[in-house]
Amino acid sequence: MNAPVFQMSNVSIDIGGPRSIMQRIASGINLELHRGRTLALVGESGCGKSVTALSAMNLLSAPLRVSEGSIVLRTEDGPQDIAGLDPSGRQMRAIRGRRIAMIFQDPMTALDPVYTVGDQISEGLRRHLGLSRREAWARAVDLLRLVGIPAPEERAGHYPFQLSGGMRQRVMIAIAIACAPSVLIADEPTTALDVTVQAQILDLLRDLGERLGMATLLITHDLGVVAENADDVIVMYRGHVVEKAGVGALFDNPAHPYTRGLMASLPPADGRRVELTPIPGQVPPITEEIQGCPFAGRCPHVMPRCGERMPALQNLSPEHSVACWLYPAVAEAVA
Amino acid sequence: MLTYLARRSLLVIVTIAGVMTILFGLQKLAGDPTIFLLPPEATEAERLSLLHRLGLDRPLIVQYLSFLANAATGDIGLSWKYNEPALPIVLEAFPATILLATSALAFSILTAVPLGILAALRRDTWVDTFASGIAVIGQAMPVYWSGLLFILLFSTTLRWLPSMGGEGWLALILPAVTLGLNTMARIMRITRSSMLDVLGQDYVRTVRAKGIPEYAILFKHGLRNAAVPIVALIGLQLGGLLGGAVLIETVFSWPGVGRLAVNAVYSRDFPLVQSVALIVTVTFSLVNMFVDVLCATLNPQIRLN
Amino acid sequence: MSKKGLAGFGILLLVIVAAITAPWISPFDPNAQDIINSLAAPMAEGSEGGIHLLGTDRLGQDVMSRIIYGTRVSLTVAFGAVGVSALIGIPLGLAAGFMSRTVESLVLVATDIVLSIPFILLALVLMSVLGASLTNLIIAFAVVRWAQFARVTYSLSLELREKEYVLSCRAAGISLPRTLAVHVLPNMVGPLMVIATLELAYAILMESGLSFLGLGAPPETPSWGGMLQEGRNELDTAWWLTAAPGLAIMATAIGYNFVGDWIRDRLDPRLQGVLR
Repeated sequence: MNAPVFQMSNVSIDIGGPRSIMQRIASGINLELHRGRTLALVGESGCGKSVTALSAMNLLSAPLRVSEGSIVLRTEDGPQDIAGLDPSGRQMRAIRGRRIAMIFQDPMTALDPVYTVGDQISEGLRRHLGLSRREAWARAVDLLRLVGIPAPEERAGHYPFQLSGGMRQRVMIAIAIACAPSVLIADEPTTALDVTVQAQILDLLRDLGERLGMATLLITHDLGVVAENADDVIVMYRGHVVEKAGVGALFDNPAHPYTRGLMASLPPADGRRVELTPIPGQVPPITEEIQGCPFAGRCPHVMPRCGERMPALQNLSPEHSVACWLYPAVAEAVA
Repeated sequence: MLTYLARRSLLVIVTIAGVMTILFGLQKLAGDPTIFLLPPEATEAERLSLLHRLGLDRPLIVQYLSFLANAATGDIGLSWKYNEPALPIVLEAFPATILLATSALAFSILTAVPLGILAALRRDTWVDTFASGIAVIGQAMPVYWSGLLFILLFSTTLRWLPSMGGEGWLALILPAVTLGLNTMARIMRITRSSMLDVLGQDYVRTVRAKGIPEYAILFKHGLRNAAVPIVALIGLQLGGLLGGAVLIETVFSWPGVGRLAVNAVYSRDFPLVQSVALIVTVTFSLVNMFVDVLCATLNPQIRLN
Repeated sequence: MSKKGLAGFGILLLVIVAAITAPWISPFDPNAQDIINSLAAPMAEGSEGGIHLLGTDRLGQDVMSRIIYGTRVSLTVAFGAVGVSALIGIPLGLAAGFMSRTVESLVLVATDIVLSIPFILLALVLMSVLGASLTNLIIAFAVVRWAQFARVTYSLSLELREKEYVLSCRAAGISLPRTLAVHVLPNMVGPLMVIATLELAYAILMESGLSFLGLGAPPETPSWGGMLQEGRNELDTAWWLTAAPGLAIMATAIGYNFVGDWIRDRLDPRLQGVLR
């Protein structure tokens, strides 16, 4: 496989500042994104997915910050560590929207209510590619057509409130892909949408990712979405990566008890009627200090050592790794 | 939009008619004006002839209707004190008040909006504390008192600025700043809070993710979205400014309708008071209508429905 | 409690205590004239002993004592005026919110009319017609400012009348007055308190404004606005006559505003929107 276009190595994110207690809300995150492929980041709400996504754009705002690790973007100009750039500086702005673009969860609130969608798509085009107002508008219309909006010439002149939720999310996608970025981050892109629209949006994202050769980071809490759309999967729990695998390997052989729990709470794709078992309990809040594995409190296989130390991620096979004391490979790596 | 305009205009007309009715009622409440208008030694015949001349011997309802009808044509009657049509006297003094009020408004907007934005951006820093301090004081200071203090400091002590109206452009500074202080405090508060509100919105994050520089985010998206409550407040403040002018014009001897009204009240010159009230109300109502329409235009959701 | 809230309540407590204990804490009789000591500077000694902490006015009356007695006018007018305005405005606002369309339009047009005349102008005319007295100050305020209470109560009604508990009360056949008293009014108390504090601050500013124009408190009653009016004539020679009552007015207004801010910060955010 080629070198990844985007790589987060050992990234930790802290909350808190000089005057309040520092709290680590994500630690030791490693992930790579490759051209034309989709990596899914899965976990319940509150597990650190969204801050990870924001850190990839260097969009964390105080009191959140990346405290460790590197976030490297590879372009034709060579690799660049985003984590080291000034978040509001010129270099970072030249990357945002141009190299890395992001789609947000709620299209109802993510579009500026007082500008037309054409204007909002044009804004990035004019800023990054130096297009004139007229050229940018023409491109915006093309992009609206590309994301499957009917009558794009007319729609470009509409305001967000005149569009349905699915349409708005298509507009968000058009804004994101406008400058042909190499990395696309989609943070729960379908959560706020009707079920019937969700599949269309995901198909569109997948199709665009392959056609435009973008590397996609798909953040979701829905394993069904993962199965349909991802190539690789990372499962996160309370700020830790607990399992990492190709999508086939993960679904055939889920290793971490948390992943298994998530799967047991998912209805089977073939429509069989089975008993669904939810994971008992909730994700512990970030304000709670935790020693050892954060899942220990909800885990059916909990052992004494789980409460002592968080295990590191170890390979079960070349494309499958897990962080759980249940596995000899993990235990041996420590010994 | 057209029906909205029509309904809004109708409201303006109803409001003005209502105000005129109140003023008519007050005039009747004030009792027989001839007591003030005639020398004490006047005879009963003189009194009756004056009543007749003023049209005050007619039945009340006739007086009321002719008052409204005349007011609609801009005829409020003769000023009892100057013995000439009251409305033109007011109209002559009106530009001075407009000049004072618009200068005060300009001063307050030009200082309050930047300071409010800065306070929102530098939240919880000394800038924010400074701005909220100014807002607290500006809102609680009686206008005429700040006027007196400014006169004491800038005219009497430092001798930098004139304290009386009619001495050129410099004479405008103190009254305008004094009158604008309260409005400035209010505009600043709302600018700060609506900027904070807007800058926390999801769409601002979207814009930031597009790689747009902060200044463009601030002005193109932030201020544009925060504008509706700010503009709405500015419209409402104009009433306060015109009211404040009554006091400020007295303090600074500014030759506007406010001072005219105060003097007219002292001399019980009712037609003159009514004329001032009419002019001020019409102005305020029209400006408010304009501001409402402007707010509707700023918000595409209202504009297109 | 926040620092601001504490400061606000502190100021108001001070004013209230001063008003109650005025005869005992005032260094001089507020109306006692001491012509020899006309326009004495602050800290000057009185001709019959005692220190004029804040100086004296043209008639040699002690400014400090007049400020202390002035709290009585300030409180009486503020609470009287706001109380009467609220008693008129709140029921009308409720009527507009919960009764027929006709009532709604009538009340709303009436508030529009009253609020479109600058208050001070209307109050000026009213005071000149009614004559300068504290009662008339209260009347003049209430004649106009009931509309502010009516308007806010109406906006709150719009918010509350769609609430399930209100709708279900109506559906269960509970009478309108009872629904309002038990389920609607208690939910309006917070925002109405905020408006009331703002109106209190407004009332003292306007009271002193009218007194300043000679149309407020009668001259023999020590009032802050009246003192300012006298001070204006001595502006060049006796700055304390202007500074002292102005500071008193400002501090009291700040007190009301702080208390209002404090209540506002503790409110349900959805009801806060109404207060904009």
